[in-house]
Amino acid sequence: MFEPIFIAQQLLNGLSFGALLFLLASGLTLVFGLMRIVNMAHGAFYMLGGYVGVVVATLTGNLLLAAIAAAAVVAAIAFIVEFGLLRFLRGQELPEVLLTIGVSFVMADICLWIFGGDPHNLPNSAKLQGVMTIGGLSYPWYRILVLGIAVALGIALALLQNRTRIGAIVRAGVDDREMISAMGVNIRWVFTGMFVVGAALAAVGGTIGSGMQSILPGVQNEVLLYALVVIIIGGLGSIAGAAVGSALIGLIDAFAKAWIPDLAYFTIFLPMALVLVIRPTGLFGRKA
Amino acid sequence: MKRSRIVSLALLALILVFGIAFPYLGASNFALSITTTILVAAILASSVNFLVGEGGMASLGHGAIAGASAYGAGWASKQGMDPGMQVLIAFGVTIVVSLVYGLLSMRTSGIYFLMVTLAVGMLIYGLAFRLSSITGGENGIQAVPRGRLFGLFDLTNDLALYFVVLAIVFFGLVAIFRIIHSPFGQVLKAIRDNESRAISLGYRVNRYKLAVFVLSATLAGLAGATKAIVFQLASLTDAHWSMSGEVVLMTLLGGMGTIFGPFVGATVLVAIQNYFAGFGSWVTVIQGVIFVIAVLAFREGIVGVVSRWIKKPL
Repeated sequence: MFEPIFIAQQLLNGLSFGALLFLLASGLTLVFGLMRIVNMAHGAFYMLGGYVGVVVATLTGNLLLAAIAAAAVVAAIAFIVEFGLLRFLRGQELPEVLLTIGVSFVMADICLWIFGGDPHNLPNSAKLQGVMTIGGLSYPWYRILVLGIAVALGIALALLQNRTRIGAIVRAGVDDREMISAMGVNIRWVFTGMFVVGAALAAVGGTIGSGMQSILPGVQNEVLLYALVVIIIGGLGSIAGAAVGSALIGLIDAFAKAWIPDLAYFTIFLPMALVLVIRPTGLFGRKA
Repeated sequence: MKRSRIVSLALLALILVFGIAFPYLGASNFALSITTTILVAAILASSVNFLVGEGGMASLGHGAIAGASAYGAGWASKQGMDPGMQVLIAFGVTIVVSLVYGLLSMRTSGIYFLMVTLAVGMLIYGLAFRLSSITGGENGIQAVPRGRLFGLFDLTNDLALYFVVLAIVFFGLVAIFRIIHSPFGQVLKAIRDNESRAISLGYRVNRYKLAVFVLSATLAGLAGATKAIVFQLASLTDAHWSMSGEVVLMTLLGGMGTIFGPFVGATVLVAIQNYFAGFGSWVTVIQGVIFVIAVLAFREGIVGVVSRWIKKPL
């Protein structure tokens, strides 16, 4: 139970699950940071992305193609949701959340209708094969790849936010919407763009995640829960917070599942409760 | 007494009279059971509505509170306790659960509050799923016996059950009405309208908020226990957040912050669910679409619109 190899394995399990969580939570937290919307349809975006990804990967055997297709489909739907519905509710917190709940209901049911109730998994042909072996430790390359993708994406998002003009516009939008509008930026389109990007991130997460855990009806709620816990811990709107929160929850989840499986579900809420009591805005969050 | 209050009281009395007369107006057993369903849903919707209307806090965790309470009642019944004891146990569970909710969520507000209630609600769902020795896991607690309430009312009789539920609903409505118009309710209004001012006047805002939350949760727990007895079932679906979403939809349809809104909303939604039951899984899609339309175009809700017409709060 406490052998080094076992521990190393759980460590990798936790980090790779955390990587998947980061793909989910980063989109959710970015959208929240800019638009103050808790997108309850985020889990549904993940699920649809997973289904589309699995279908495309089965046809082509190419993971990259599958991820791109998933991101494109989900981004298109997110655009419709934002442009056609959410835009009319700007700034009204509760109605916005309720609307995304409605969208989530509809999407989940349409997914059930199209893809059925059977679990969908990424076909092996599209997966990175083989296992990494270091001494007595062997670990699937695919999960290492997921970890790598998440790290790369995290760095890219951080650079985008801190080093580019687009990032500057987004940061300005978070701080002061009126001012950035007065500077001649059409903030409405920035919002729409961010919502679409957030959804696309969820879709990529779904495609990649389908290689780690099945996509099936109900998965949208489970991933939404994990993503919410992550961003509550990390602080809403913070990419760094999402990264730290994902790693934390991923690790806690992995070790809890190995050591105290009966309480596995409970353990991810303990850090959340602690954070809420000690620092209600989250580890990296700012005061609302 | 203000005229608006008289209108509300008159409506309250009217509902009671109609409720009592309903079974004797030639209502079929089916109509009676649907009405019971609506009443149970309306209690839960009222609890959410109370929290939004009086506390200014929207919760997505009330389904789970009601669910926990239903499990409490169901578990107690399986231990052979009578309905009175079942309700007591259910209340105990509700108080514990709502304090956990309250303590975790009180330091947050607005959208954060919504998320925390959602997350805690999902935690309860997860616990109900895992602790299958107590909750029956995916099967839930089935065939909850109805028994005799206080040794007096035989709840196996549908008519008696209907009247008991009606009494509970009426009790809930009167309680809400009393609280809203009490000094406590006035303080709540002050907090809702201007929190900083209420703090500067020396009110301990957090305590008031916790009190509203626990009151609202108690009502939700009452709904859950009633539901367990009426449907003889405590199930996972009830504890799921989509149930909380459904309840918020009822309040929204009926009119948030109105006393009678939850009833109208519950009636409409239960009617839709029954009417469209033949469409199978499409019910969720229809519900989702109604959700979207209601949020986009019909924010005041049915009672809200009526209330604006007659220029009186209902």
